[in-house]
Amino acid sequence: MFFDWYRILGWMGNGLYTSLVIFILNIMIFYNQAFRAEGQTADMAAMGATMFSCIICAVNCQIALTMSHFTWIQHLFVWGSVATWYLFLLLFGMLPPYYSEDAHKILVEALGPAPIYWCTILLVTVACILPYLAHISFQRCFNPMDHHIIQEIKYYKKDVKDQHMWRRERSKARQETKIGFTARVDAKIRQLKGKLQKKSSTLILPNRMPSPC
Amino acid sequence: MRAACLVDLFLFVSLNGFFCFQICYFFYKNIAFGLTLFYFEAFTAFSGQSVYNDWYMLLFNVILTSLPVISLGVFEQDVSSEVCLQVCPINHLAIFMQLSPFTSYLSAMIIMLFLHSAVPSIVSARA
Repeated sequence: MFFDWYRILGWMGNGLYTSLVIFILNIMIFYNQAFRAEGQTADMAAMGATMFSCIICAVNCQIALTMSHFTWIQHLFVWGSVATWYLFLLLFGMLPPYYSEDAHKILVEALGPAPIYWCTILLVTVACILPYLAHISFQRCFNPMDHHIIQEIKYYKKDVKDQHMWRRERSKARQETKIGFTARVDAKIRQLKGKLQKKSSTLILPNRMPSPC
Repeated sequence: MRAACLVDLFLFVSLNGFFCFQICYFFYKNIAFGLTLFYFEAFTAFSGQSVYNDWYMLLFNVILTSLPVISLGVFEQDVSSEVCLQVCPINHLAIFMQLSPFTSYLSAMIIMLFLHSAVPSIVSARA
């Protein structure tokens, strides 16, 4: 149901797109443009930290976008991760330069006061999550899955008002499930084995089970 | 009593859409992170210079992106469990029982792991 190769490849493609967007936009923005108010350009440490901030923000916004059921723990972890990154950058920058090397006071003195840093993060994050946002919006509007429909029904309280519709949705759940190629092959092998041992009558496939509801 | 617990367990497992999304997301975040590193290497003509500080790379999977995906795995549900019980749990049960090929995925992964670690070491030892 949720485990197919299209999905995995889709996410991998999404990762490829995200990495391309993050790298190309960052390189283009920091290539020869002034970074500080006095007109100095960014060095590699500043660009690296900006790129990493973009990755953290994009990846965490992406997972926030996929969640349909929020609890406060999820909020804490998702936005806490972004906060942890900035906290780390702040504390790491406070260490003496012997330990922090090129990241010494990077947030306080280099990145923080530069508006281009914050603008870049915003731009890159939005650019990264746009395709997935378009995908889920399109799917929900034009090609909804069963759980989307049930969510909408519950959200608009249709199950109370429109009994007919609700009954139809419930009966749909009794239809046969279609999942993965390997599972079907396995089922076929089991079936053949059963026939071989002439015990085919005892073989019950899980999806043919009578439903209790 | 025990049967009721079993139903809850199946609901918990099936509602979470399984491990699939977590795996996809894991691929996603590491591709997004690792490829930028690779692009920068290509950009600097493979000089071996790293654009990120070592500590950033170290903390990426350990602290900065691990907790949200765990919380998603534990708490995410497409529909609440009462609704799922109303809309018939047996299909989820069927999915759960048919997903046993996970072991085959797992064994394939482990074989690949040994293969991929063995090939470079053997080749470099011979060369």
